[in-house]
Amino acid sequence: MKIYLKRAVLFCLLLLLLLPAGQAKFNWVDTGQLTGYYDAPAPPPDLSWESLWNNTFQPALERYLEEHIGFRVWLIKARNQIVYDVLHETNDPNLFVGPNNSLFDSRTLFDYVGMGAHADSATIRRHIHRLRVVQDTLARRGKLLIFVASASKASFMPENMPAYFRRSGRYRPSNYEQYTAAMRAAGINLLDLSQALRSWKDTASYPLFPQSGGHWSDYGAALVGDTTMRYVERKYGRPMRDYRLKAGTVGIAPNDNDTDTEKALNLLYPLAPHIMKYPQVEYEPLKPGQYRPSALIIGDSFVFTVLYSFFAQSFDDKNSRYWHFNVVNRNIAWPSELPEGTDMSKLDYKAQYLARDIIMIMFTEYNMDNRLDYGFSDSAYKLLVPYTHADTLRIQALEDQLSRKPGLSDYWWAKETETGRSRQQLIHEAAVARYDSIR
Amino acid sequence: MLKNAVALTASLLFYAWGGINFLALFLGSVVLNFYLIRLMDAALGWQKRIYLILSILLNVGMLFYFKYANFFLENVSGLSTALGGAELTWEKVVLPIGISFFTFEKLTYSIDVYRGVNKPLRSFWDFMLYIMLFPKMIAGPIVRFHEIAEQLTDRAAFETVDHKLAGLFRFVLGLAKKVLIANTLGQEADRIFGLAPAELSAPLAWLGAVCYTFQIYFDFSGYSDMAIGLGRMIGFQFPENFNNPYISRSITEFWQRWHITLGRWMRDYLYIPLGGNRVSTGRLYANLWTVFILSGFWHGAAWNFIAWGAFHGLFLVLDRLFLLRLSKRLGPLSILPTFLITVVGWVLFRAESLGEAQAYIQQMFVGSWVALPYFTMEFWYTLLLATLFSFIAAVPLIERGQLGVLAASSWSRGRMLALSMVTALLLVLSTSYIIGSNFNPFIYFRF
Repeated sequence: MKIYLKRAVLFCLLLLLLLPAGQAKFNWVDTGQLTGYYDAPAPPPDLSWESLWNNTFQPALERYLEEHIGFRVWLIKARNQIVYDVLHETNDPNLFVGPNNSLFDSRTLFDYVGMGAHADSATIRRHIHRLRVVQDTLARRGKLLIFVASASKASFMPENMPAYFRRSGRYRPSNYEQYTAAMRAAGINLLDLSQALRSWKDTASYPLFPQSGGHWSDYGAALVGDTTMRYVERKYGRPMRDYRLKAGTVGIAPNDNDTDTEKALNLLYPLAPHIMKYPQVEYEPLKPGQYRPSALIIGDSFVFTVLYSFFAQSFDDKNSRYWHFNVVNRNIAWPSELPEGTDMSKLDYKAQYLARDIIMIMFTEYNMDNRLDYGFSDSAYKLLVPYTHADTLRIQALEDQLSRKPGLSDYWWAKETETGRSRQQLIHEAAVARYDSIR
Repeated sequence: MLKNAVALTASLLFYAWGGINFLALFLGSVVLNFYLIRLMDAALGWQKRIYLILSILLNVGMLFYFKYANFFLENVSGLSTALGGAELTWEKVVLPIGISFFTFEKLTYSIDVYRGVNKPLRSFWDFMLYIMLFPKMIAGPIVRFHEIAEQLTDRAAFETVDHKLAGLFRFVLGLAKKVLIANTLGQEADRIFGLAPAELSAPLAWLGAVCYTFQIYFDFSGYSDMAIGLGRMIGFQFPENFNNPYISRSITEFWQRWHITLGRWMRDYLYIPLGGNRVSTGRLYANLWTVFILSGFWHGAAWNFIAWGAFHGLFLVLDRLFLLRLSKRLGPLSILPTFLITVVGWVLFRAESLGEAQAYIQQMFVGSWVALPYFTMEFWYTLLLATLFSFIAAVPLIERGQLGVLAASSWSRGRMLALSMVTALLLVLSTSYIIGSNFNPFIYFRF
């Protein structure tokens, strides 16, 4: 009897080892899909004598089998769930869990406590100077430049940050704090939504940021959109299209925006939902005397939360653009079809800047790093602000310096050979590039 | 016969999977060894000795060529340029996987037959199976020929359901050690060792070194458990390779508990032929040091491995001079200084070069004392578990219990069911960690 029991146990354990292979082959159970961002599964590798011999087939097949093993989705979710339930952590190094199941993107936390990419004071001064000059240049042409600083979750609810970040304290002021202070001092058109959201926090009847999402809630987005449009209308100086904020619904059925961070966790079962408010925006038809200006919106993903509900309705939807910039994206996100095409590398940037009535730069605190606006102020400054006589003299001085610098002769010779252009031209371009980086 | 054929086919496929382009060379060396040793066995007197020398030269020569040619040429080239000469250029020699391990096994076969400990195998296929047996081929344990000679032809006594169950438990235990502990700590060790010395505070440097100390233990002992477990499942009894090394009270004891099969190999085939303990004190110390420098060099063709061997050799000599007496007085407390010595030693082992190791060790002792950066709770709990599992056997009762479970060849119903449940749980957990992570390197594969 005992021996049969042992054999049965051994058989069951061996079966457990083979079960994933059976599931992969026959797909007995539907295990669902993973959500959030993950690498696309590898294709089956090509078997050839050469790939076997140079040992490229073997690791490729191992990877393929690993990614197509049966119950893969359940296995990944089981691991994530254990880590989440037992340790209150995520399996994603970029996602953190705070009290009350508050999920945070690592960038918002590191930026808030001052451990993120630091913008030094010279960089801040240069960006603010350029932005101010661009704002004035555009204003002379009847165009409006607005900088909108969006709130990040950590600065909005620091009390819900994970224990490590609450304990660590703040090492230094965030880039956002330094940039916005400098913008105010320089007279830049700044709408500080971050400050606004914090001021609404105690009186808001519903959450402005969802616990399981990285962006503000629909309720928060409605307040933000409303505040932004009022600010734009005031600065634009002409009446714009009317709209009404309707109460909408209240419930615990989270939308995609409420759970965008949670989706990346890939847990076995969802986190407890919260009661949220989902207001609706209703636009009136354009009345005589009202304007729908064209706008170029350059910003990160927070723009999406108000793009269709507010911006696409208030701004001229044929001639407006939304350029989506962040650490991984640099594309035209709206509208989808454009006469100038959607390839950003082929755009005439100067024409794009000058073709709009309003340029709205909208970045979240943690994206305001040493690039501030992902290159807009540098590019606009270079294209819109011509060199003065003093600038030309400084460039000439740099050219002299570069052509006389000992040891560079070989470098210029190599460059001439490589590009087929004259040394004088190459030195001039290098001097201009160097001057532009410090102007 | 059939079982051996299946095991040999599986072993050939296993080797070919990782190193198909070395298979012919590897098989050629096995054929040559087999016939050389048969000739040696048939020969007498000095002829016998000649055959042994030929066999040793063949195996050690192969190892030197594949493992050490790059190292020697790099150093000769470095010396040449330092003296104003030209830099040498050569095509890098690629290291066949497992060469360090199977070279040692071929040597034990030659020497055991020469010494008359065992008769040579009659069947070439049995000999090939001994060298190639897949569970231990790549990273050990190093099975000396006399330990397995009989099992190659008859292992009926070990082919029971109890042995198979015990083998499966052991395999899954090894997998869990590797996946759940070694990989988690290894990721952080890699991150910390990858930092520039200026970014490395003293607490962080110590943390990185401790992480690596546990990583290498759970990684390598996990692999050994898997090899021993797989071996038991197919009827082979491989020797144990680890016995709670971090509870050692001296470096001498550490080497009786760490990579036991290498230690025994070095003792039987190097230390004893050099004279063993029956020489003058000075010669004894020199022999000890030589053996450990060679052991370091066996691990890797780089100066930091040689330094690691010399470091351990130095402490073995110091043990004989006075440290053993001191640790006896300290009793169980001597576990801590011994552990710290091994931690520092592992830095030499882990670093990419001797210079890097020196800079790292410097930070451990004179680096700044600032707070540690962020680490996940998963990491801290894993470190805690690793510490617990590494030191808990310092309690003699627990050590006896561990040995009882690992060596058992018959199971009561209750114990079997409990272990089966633990095995199933660890298997699912380990699989989910493997699938959910792409960090699964085996450290000893490169040796």
